[in-house]
Parts: sequence; structure tokens; C-alpha cells
Amino acid sequence: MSLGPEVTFFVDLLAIYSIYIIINTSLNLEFGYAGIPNFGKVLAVGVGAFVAAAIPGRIFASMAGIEGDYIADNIAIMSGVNAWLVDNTGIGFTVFFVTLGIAAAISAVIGIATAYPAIRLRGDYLAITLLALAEGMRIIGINYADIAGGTLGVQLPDPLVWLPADLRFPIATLGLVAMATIAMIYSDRLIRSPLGRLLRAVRDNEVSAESLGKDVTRARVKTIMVAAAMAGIAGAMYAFYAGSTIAFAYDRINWTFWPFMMILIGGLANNRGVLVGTFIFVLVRKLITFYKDSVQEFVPFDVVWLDYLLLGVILIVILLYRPQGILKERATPTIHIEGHHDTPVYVRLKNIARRLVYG
Amino acid sequence: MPILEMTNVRKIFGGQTVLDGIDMSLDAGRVYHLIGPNGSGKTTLINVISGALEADGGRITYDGHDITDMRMLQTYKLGMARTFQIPQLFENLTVLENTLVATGENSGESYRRAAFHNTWKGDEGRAVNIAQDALAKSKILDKQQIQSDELSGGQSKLLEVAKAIAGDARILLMDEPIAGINPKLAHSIFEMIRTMARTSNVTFLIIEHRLDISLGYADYVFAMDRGKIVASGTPDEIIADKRVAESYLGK
Ligand SMILES: Nc1ncnc2c1ncn2[C@@H]1O[C@H](COP(=O)(O)OP(=O)(O)OP(=O)(O)O)[C@@H](O)[C@H]1O
Ligand SMILES: [Mg+2]
Repeated sequence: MSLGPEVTFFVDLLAIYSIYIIINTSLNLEFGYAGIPNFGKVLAVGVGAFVAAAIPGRIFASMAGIEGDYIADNIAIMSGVNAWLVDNTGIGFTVFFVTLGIAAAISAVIGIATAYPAIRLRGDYLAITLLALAEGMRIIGINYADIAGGTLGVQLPDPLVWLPADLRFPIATLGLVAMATIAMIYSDRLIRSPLGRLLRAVRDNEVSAESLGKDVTRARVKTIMVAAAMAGIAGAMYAFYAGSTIAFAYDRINWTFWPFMMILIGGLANNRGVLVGTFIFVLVRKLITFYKDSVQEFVPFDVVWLDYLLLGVILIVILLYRPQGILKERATPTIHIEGHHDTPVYVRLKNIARRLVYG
Repeated sequence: MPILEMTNVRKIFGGQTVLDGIDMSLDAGRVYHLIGPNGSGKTTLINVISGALEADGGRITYDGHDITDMRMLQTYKLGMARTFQIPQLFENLTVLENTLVATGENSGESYRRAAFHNTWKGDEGRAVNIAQDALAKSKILDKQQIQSDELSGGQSKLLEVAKAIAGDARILLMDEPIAGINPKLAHSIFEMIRTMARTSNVTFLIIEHRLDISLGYADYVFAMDRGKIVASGTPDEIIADKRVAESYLGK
């Protein structure tokens, strides 16, 4: 059995969509809801990927008794590890999930360590500081080969190596979809809670929040931690999915600017906006890549620039004509209040049913 | 024993002495007025007491605590709330949500519990009752579902009052709470304030310019001019005071 190009296209689309959904919900939590302009978003994603590149492969190699220098002999060691993983799927999954946990924890700690000195800075200064620190992470990754192989990159162990080759990516994609769904539900629950309200309040008016006894700094620090943990998990999962990691790939364009663009298109502080904005962005990019050759005849420049151009135009049009994004920020009621215009559908149905039954 | 006491409080802005040795003493459960011409330092005094600004000298004690160097976050926790001359609202939140933020600690505000509705819905139910009660007292309950940046100036002032009274504050510092509000509504706000003082022993320090409406509700008045308390006494004494008439009422 072999998958057709349409299936591969769809699987790829879904995989990258899911990864960006995790990253973008975490960025929306930080920026859309809490107002923290994290221009160093790539930091947590990259740290997650580096953890996945550096840790599980070494664990498996030592468990399987494979000798050699992890970086220099990486390809040989990884083929040994993957052969061993075929018979050790249980251990494979366990280490995989432990790695996600470690990625989340280390990303959260580094997120705090980098944000803490800057947390009291306002908007632009905080953004610039985080941007610079994230750049530092990439440079460390490139120059310190022990982490992720430096300029050559490293292969990752594949916990799904026991699957038939054709099913490996579709099944891995299902895992990504599941994680994206969890991230979405988690973030939506956070937002529809007193915490969500507090974050929006801190974002709208810091002075007033403080005058009402709210610890603004603490709320920001915790938000950065949680968002970094989510992005770290996304980075680690992406590295596992791709099967290899290279520090160059964790640049600010793909993992900071694009995510900002997606949530700006969809609408800040609206989780449905994240779904919509991310979908538009990922689809446009994927279509351009997929039809690259056929498009090339119609454009007078190298087609690789087309997505920058097209997405830039989309962003400008949206910011000009609908600056709040496609979907607006909405009230996030925590409990049902009679007559509330934003009553969830299921509560309305329940009320109608109750009226029918009890008259 | 007074609940709030200031001795020789000073504030200097770039060489300009805005608070020039303020001494004040407030007893619990009474309604105090702070009056004075524009620029006399009234707002600055509230900012210094609440901890929005640091004092440059002197000492402020509240309920046995030295609060001179405390920030707003800390004075709030001790039971002090305030309103702002220019309303400070959460503009993307509804009127009800604005007031809910002001209802004090809520277990649902922690990351550990927020995602689990059951762990905080009790707190939240109580908070909604408190918030709606505060909105009703502030005569703005009918606007509870409206996004707060759609409110008029007067309505914003009412919401500002609701936010201040929604917490459990023992002392409320209010900066021109009825500015831009029609006289009938303004009277009912001051009636509510007097009731809170009488029945719940809450202390009020209220900056007000519209003395025709507010003075009747004051137990005691401090008159400021150029950073100093120039007179203090009952409303009748203050109206009769020559210095006040010169600096303020006569103007
Ligand atoms: N942050 C600040 N920096 C510099 N000067 C300030 C600051 N805040 C207030 N001032 C000055 O301090 C003086 C007192 O201002 P304040 O706002 O306390 O007066 P006020 O009595 O509240 O007046 P109004 O009745 O107009 O509200 C004014 O001269 C004002 O310009
Ligand atoms: Mg003032």
C-alpha cells in the first residue's frame, strides 16, 4: 500500500496545523489574553525540540547498550536505537512521554529565567528583550553541538518505528491532533474562568488591577511559564514528528513571526480565531508549496517569495479593514447568568428543555 | 483610636511641593470630605495614601499598620480600596466582569484550579452575587452585560464606584465619584455611601467639587489649598470658614 499525494498533502497539512495550534494557543494566552508581547516565542519551541534531540536518544542508546559518540556517530546509533525500539515499544512510548514532560519543565524554567528580569518592562522593551534572548538560544544550539548536533543536526529516535512505513506519518499526525485538541480545550477552560478574566483585566489596565489587589507580576510570570511549557511540548513533538532536529530550523520567522501573524489574522483573545487564522495561514502556505511548479510560470520572481508576499498582503488587508482580526474578542462568561447574550448553546438548550418539561 | 492617620506627609514633583506637611486623622465609620481648588493636591494625597505614589516624607498609619511605603497591592489587602478621578476600567470586559475582578480573591484565579470548573464555581457564584449587589447599589446593574468601553462618562464613574465597594474594604478613598452624574442619581449614590458608613462601619474619604450635592452627607470636611490642610471641621464650620471661602468657595 502506498499513500497518494493528496493523502500526504492532507496529512502534512493536519500535522503542521496541529503543531501551530499548540504554539498559537499558547501565544494567544500570553499575548492575546495577558498582553505579554512574547517576541521570543521561538525560544520555548526550540528548547522543546532540543530536549527531544538531546535526551531520549541517549537514554535509548544506553538502554540498548549501543556504544559510540552520540553526535559524531549519530546516524549509526539512531539506526541501532530504532531497530531496538521495534521490540521495545512500551519503553519507547514511556520515554517519549517523559521527554514531553521534561521539555515542558525546562521550557517553563527557561521561559521564566529569560522573562523575569524583563517582566516589569512595558510592551516594546519586553518584546525586544525576549527577541534577543531567543536569538541567543539559536546561536547556542548552533555552536554547542552536544545539544542538537550543531550545524549538522541530529536524528531522533522514532517511537513509532514499529508501524508500517506508510502508516507512520498518519498515526504520528493523529498524536499531534490529539495534543492540539488537549491544548485547545485546556486553554479554553483557562480562559472561561476567573483566571481568564484576571488576565484580560491585567492586560487592559494594570493600574486598576493592582488597585484591586491583583498581583500583576505574578499573573504574568505564571502565564509565561504555562505558555512556555505548552510551546516546549509542541517543539518536542515537532522534532519527534520530523525525525530530526537542526538548530537552524528554530528561527524567529517560523516560530515567532508566523505565529503572531496567524493569531492577528484570526483575532486576538479569541481561541476560535486561533483555529481560523492558523487554518488560513497553513493552507495558503501548503497550497503554494504543493503547486509551486505550476505557479512558477505565472509569477515573475522566484516562487519561494510568494507566500511571504501573499501572507503579508492578507495581514495588511486584515489590519486595515478589520484590525481586531477575523473574529473579535468576546466576553467569556464563567457561569450562566440569565439573559446573557453569550450564553453557551448547551445551556440554552438545557433551559428550553427544562421549560418544556416543567412548563 | 483613629483608623487612618497621617503626620507631616509630603510629596514633591520635580521641585514643586504638592503635599506640604499633611496631618489628618480619620475615625472609622464616618464620611469625610476632602475639598479644595484645582491643583491643590487632593488626588495626589489619595495616590500617596493608597500607595499609587510614594510619599517623600511623613508617616501614614492605617488600622495599626505603617502603610507609608506600601504599594496599592498591599494596602488593598489591608482593606483599603480607591476610585480614580479618571475611571480606570478594563475596557474589553463587560460591566459585570469589571466588577467581578473587584470582588477580591477567587480560587478560580490560580492556574492550578482555573481549568477545573468544579473547584471554583462556588466562589464564582458568590462573587457574582456580590458584584451584582455592588452594581445595584451603584445604580448600574442594568448595564451589566455591556462592554465597559461603551459606557458614558457618568456611567463609567458609577462602575468605578461599584468596583470600589465590591471588595471587602474597610476604608474607601473616592476621587470625585459623582462627576458627570445627574443630581438625582448623585444623591442616591451618596445615600448609599452614608448607609454603608452607618451600618457597616466603612470609612469614606471623598474628594468632591459638587458641594451643593455632597456636603449634606459629610460628617467632617478637610479643606486643602496648595498642598496644605487650611481648614477642617463640620460642613457648617467649613462653609463659615473665611480661608475656605477665599481659596475655594469664593472663587
Ligand atoms: N505625576 C505628576 N507629576 C508631576 N506633577 C504632578 C503629578 N500629578 C500631579 N501633579 C501636580 O500636582 C499638583 C496637584 O495635582 P492634583 O492632581 O493632586 O490636584 P487636585 O487637587 O486633585 O486637582 P483637581 O481638583 O483638578 O483634580 C498639580 O499642580 C499637578 O500639576
Ligand atoms: Mg484630582
